[in-house]
Amino acid sequence: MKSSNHVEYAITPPKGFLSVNWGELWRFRDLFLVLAWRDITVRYKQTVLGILWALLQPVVTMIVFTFIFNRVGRIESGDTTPYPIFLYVGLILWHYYSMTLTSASNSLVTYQAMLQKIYFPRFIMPASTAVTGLVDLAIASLILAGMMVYYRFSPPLLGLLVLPVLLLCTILAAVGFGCFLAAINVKYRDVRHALPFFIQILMYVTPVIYPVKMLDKYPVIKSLMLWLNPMSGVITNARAALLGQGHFDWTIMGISFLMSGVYFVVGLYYFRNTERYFADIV
Amino acid sequence: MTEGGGPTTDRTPSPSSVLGHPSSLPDHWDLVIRPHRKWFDLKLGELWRYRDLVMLFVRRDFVALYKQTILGPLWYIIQPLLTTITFTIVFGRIARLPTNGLPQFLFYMAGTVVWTYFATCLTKTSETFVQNAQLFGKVYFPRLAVPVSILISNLIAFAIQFVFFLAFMVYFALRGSPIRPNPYILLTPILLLTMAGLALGFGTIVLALTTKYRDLRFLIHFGVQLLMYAAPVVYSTSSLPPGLQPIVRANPLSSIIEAFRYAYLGGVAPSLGQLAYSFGFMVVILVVGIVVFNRVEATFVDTV
Repeated sequence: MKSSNHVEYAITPPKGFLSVNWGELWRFRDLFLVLAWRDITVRYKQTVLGILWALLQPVVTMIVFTFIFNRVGRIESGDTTPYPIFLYVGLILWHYYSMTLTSASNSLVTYQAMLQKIYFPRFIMPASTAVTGLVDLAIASLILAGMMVYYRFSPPLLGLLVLPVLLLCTILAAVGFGCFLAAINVKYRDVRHALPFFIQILMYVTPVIYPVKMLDKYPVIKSLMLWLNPMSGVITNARAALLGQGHFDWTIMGISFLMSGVYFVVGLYYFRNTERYFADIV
Repeated sequence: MTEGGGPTTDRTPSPSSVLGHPSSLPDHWDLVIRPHRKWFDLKLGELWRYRDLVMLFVRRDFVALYKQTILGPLWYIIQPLLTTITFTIVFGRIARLPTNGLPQFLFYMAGTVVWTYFATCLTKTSETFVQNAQLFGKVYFPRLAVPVSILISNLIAFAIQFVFFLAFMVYFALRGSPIRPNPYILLTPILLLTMAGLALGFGTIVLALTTKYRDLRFLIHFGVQLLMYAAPVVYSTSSLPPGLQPIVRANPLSSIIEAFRYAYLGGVAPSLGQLAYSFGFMVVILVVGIVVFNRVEATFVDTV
């Protein structure tokens, strides 16, 4: 106690913006990478299908949804874009978002054994879940590339440049919201039961299976959707950017970016303020 | 909990005497674990002796779902309700799938409640070994106790949801919706039995495969979801294009869902031949499932 030299690691109380100790977070970057790498290997270890599996899920979902909503339900893409590719762009982005949100929300409960034993910046846990889905997204994008060749779409250069921004939006929204839910999940397991339904419902109020244009008749619902749900803007713009159909909407982009930033800050703020008791009640 | 199936005597034969004369001291053993003689051996008698353990598993499964939640057992009602509302909006309002003139809400609720029973039983059964590996590695009991307890605990959940469904049915009937319950209702126990058998049979087959290939664990959740679209949960078979109807009819669950819906709400009845097909399918899949289960049971502790 007398000399600080004897202390190997000092856990200081949180302070500063969002009470996040950014320096500490940086020092723990190897833990972040290890957790992310573990998630990836666990997902593909001891599996026969391996990578094929990451391809199969979005493709089969696309086929089923195209059949149900397009062939039977008569939902169209709203312009000349063929429905399957229109749907697929939305699906893979949505799949990434929902997967990250789910695993971030459950991260603290899943790894409670680790949480109760050692100290590390808790934020690393939900944050590392964002990496695992990226692998799936990359693999699923191969099919998208194939479909773009098949349907003869060549993305404009601007579209490709804007993709990282769209992805960043998605990550911020998913991790921010995930942090918030993870913190609640520690105390109330209702989150775990509600989440699958919540995500299912959320998918239908996001323009994944239909174009946002379909809501032009209901301007209030449309603007509510674009403001409250950053993924609406992300998916709409990703379609414009990749398929070149419909024009890229910078206003919507700005709204999405602003809102995912808000979700991230609020989520992180709540997370940091409840973090103290995680290990006690998880 | 251990009184029923656990040790009842303190006399334990010394190891040397056992090794020397195994057959001369049969009375000293509490329980003799015998190898399977026949390839199809249910050991129902043994399962019956372990009924207290089964009931304990049932309680555990039932309670574990809502531990540490605010809403508690209400989740059993909220789950089908939320799914039904989603289906009503998405498939009823957005996609406008026809429902044979039945109220959309009841149409989807009947499908959801029945489907949930099957899907949960199937998923949980297929995870039996992975979820209970710790327990299985330590102590002997008839392994079939776990899948059987899953069927029972979900049957309780089904009963709760079913009563909830009936309440909605009465509400809609009072408001003058064209609902025509009919004698098909008497088939309800058989329909449930068929579904339980199908879930157990398919579940154990998947279980056998998952102990060898882990990716099926990811696949099962996705597969069940897909299977739902191949069954008339969100649509009715008669509203499909004629070319597709045989594919849906080939699904043994289709006629069960249709029969259930017809019994309580009316609409289009599945033919008795269809129901017989489902029942026959169930018997075959159950036999295959149990044979597979008995084979895997012997070795899985080493591989899980």
